[in-house]
Amino acid sequence: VVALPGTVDPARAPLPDGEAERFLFRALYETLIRVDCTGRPLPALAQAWTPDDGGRRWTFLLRQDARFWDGEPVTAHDVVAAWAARDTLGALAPWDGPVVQSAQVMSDRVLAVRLRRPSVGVPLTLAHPGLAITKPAPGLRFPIGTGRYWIGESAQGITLAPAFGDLLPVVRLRPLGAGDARDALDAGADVLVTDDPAVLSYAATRPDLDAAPLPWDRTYVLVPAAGAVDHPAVGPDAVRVEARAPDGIPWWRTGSTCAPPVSLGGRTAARGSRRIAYPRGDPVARDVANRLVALAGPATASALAADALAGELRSPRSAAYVLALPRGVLDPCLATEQLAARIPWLDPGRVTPLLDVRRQAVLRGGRPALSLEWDGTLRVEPR
Amino acid sequence: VTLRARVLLTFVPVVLVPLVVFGVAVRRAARQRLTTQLEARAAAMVALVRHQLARQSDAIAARLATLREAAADDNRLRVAVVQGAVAERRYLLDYAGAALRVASLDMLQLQDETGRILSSGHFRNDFDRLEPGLPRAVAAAPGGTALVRVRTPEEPLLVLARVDALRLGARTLTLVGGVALERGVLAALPPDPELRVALLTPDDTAGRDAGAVTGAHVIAELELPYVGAEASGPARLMISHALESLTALRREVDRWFLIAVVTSGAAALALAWWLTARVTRPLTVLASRTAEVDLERLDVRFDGERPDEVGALARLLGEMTARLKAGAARLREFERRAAMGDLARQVNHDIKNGLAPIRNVFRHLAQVASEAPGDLARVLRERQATLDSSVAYLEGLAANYARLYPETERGPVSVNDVVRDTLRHVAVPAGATVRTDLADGLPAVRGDALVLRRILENLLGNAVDALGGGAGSVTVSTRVGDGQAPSVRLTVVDTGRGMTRTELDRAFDDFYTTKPRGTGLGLSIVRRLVLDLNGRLRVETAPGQGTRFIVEIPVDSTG
Repeated sequence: VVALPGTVDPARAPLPDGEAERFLFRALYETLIRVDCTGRPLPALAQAWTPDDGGRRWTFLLRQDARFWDGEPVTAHDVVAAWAARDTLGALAPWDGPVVQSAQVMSDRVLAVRLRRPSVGVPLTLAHPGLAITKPAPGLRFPIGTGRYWIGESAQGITLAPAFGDLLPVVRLRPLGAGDARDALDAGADVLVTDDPAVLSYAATRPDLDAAPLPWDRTYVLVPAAGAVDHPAVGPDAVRVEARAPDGIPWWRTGSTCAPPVSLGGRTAARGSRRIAYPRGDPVARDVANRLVALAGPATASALAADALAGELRSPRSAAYVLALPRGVLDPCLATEQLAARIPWLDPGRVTPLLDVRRQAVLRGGRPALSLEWDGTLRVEPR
Repeated sequence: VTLRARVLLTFVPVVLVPLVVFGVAVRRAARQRLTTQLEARAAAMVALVRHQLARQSDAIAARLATLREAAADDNRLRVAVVQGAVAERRYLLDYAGAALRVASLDMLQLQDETGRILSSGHFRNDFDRLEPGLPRAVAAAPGGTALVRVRTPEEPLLVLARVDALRLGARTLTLVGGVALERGVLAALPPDPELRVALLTPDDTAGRDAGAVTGAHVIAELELPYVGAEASGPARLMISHALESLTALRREVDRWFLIAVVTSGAAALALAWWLTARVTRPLTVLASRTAEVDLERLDVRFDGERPDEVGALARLLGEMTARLKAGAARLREFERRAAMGDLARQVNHDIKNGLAPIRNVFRHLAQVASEAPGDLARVLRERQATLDSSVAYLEGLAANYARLYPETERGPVSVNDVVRDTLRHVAVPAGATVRTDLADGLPAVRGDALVLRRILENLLGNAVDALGGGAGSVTVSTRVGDGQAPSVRLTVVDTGRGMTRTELDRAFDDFYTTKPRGTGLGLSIVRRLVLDLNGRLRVETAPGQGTRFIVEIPVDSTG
């Protein structure tokens, strides 16, 4: 039993939103390649790849035994059709357009992908869940995938059954939603991911449970919109989750050099504001913003809903924003471009990292073998 | 100014002035009643606020005492505070937040001896800030309770706060805690749409319904000890009433007052109009009847059946007219007798004048018959012309006297026809011109064509005579009369010598004439004939400028 924060909405598949969907969709749907937590590319739907044209063109050989759940073999046509369908629906950008220029079917199992930029190694962006291969399934809630698991839903929750062979254990996923994670532990969860100190404290009282830290996966940064904003050291005490002083953002420097965003030098509409805004529903961001207010004197902190925050990031009305940036990305250049698209007035030189945070996995003895993917997603390994 | 206008001008203020006085009195009484009620409600609200303040102060003190005891028993807190254990640092930081929720407070902070905030419940991340003045100021406030403006990440919060102290080992900690004024005190007040509660602090006017004081009338005030971020001193909790209700009441009274004024004014005007019409109509009729009274027309009737003053006046006028009529009859009789005397003398004189030549001729014939009978026939032939002339004179004299009182027959007569017929038989002397200007479509008048002809003949004769045998013109015109009663106007204008004032004054007297061979009866006859037709006769003249005779004859209304 795996208990993870968040909820599950089949309509979003294969693009996850939250820990539970990330785990589920990664198990149900495959990309051409996958990337482990060290950044190493591994075969997935494609078993081999070769570069061409100085790294602009990559030819992928699909796994011979690749099958959809309904038994149909997966062909290169299916890959292109899945990408095209998602592109047609307008849901693929921006990780597809900026990376893949075109895809050509060479044979049933061979696919040639032309990249926008040459890549020395196989382009890791192809492991992004947005490029997962799916097939529409009329009448079913989830699209058909090629992953190692297929899905069964029951009153007890979501059950993941091995799609091919029985080397993998059956997994029951329990999205935590708004429930208390401690209840999930009491109900027998074997794996639970959390950053809630109360849950970790509770787990520490249980001899059958161990806590293992996951990688530092998010860095909270201060993005000033108007002039200089005092940002004294916030300190890990400011937040209730496990935190540390910032260790820089691994992809920030690389991304800034390969695709430097246009700096507007603080030419924004937020002058005179003393408000520090943060995303609603992110308690860490709230605590960081509150600590900044406590240290910076006459200022206020304000939570913004997702739409309002997106609007303000395009046209700022607050003095500064506290945002969480992922520490692990597949393509630093692409990540920087995406951030620049989200915040057009962004000046990379003035973005200040404040804290790194991470979650912990609470594990029960006798649990299945687990590994981590590039973004910290849990992966169930064969017995 | 007519009687009706005077009555109207008097009537309207008589109605409106009491109404205005009534309206003003109602307005004033309503305002006083409302103000009294609002003051009573505000006083009750002040008492309630005092009660709530005292109750909340006690409750806060009790909760802080409980928290103090719990803190003293909390070993993790002791380890964190006394030993400064890093492992319990987060426990310390979150301690006030948890305690605040348990104790149902809105503000709670734990401070050390230096005033440093160790843990804040309402602003978790406000830790390590120095705020030594707050506990001292709150402790020094009367009753140990003060209104405090505390920081929160979102916005400042007004809190009713108290302090308590706690010893942990060698350290003395201060607990500052309280409940939000809004939640703890103001929310307990009964909702009153007409009363507003506003808090004015020395820092600013922030507070419940800040700005409500503007445009409102403050009824009651309550001072509270206040500890602010920048200033301290008493804050004022003001209870005011919204002027909207009073304004609405005034507007309502004014509206109905205006409606009452307009309605009453209109009713008063209508009533006054009707009353004055009732009063003045019989007076107007009386005036009209009175205007008809003339020495020649005294048969006007005055209805005296009304029992009121108008009836009395009508009866008086009727009696006066009757007396006038009797007097006029006597006067006419005297005139007639005088005229008859004059006439008799004139007839005597005229007959004598006519008979004298005849008598002389007969004396001469008698003398010839006795002295020279043979010459009788010759002398008779010689004197035949004298006899004929005298007889003709006497016949003319008889005809003239016969014209004095003609018999008339009344009926519809066309004036234009009479004018045309008369002009055909009138001899116009050389040099004179007679013109006509007859209006078309004239109504028929009531009278006698012969009488009308005699009137016109006399006027034409006078006009032609006025030309004095020289050149000139006479114009006869007809028009519709412009008097109140429908009539036809006959005008005879000459360009002759005109009349002096003296001549005009006597022009209508019997036997007055300025002509060598005139009888002096022409215009006198015209006047009588016109009056017999119920008409009017008017003369406009001046010496050397001709004369204008204007005759107006009533239209025949029998057909």
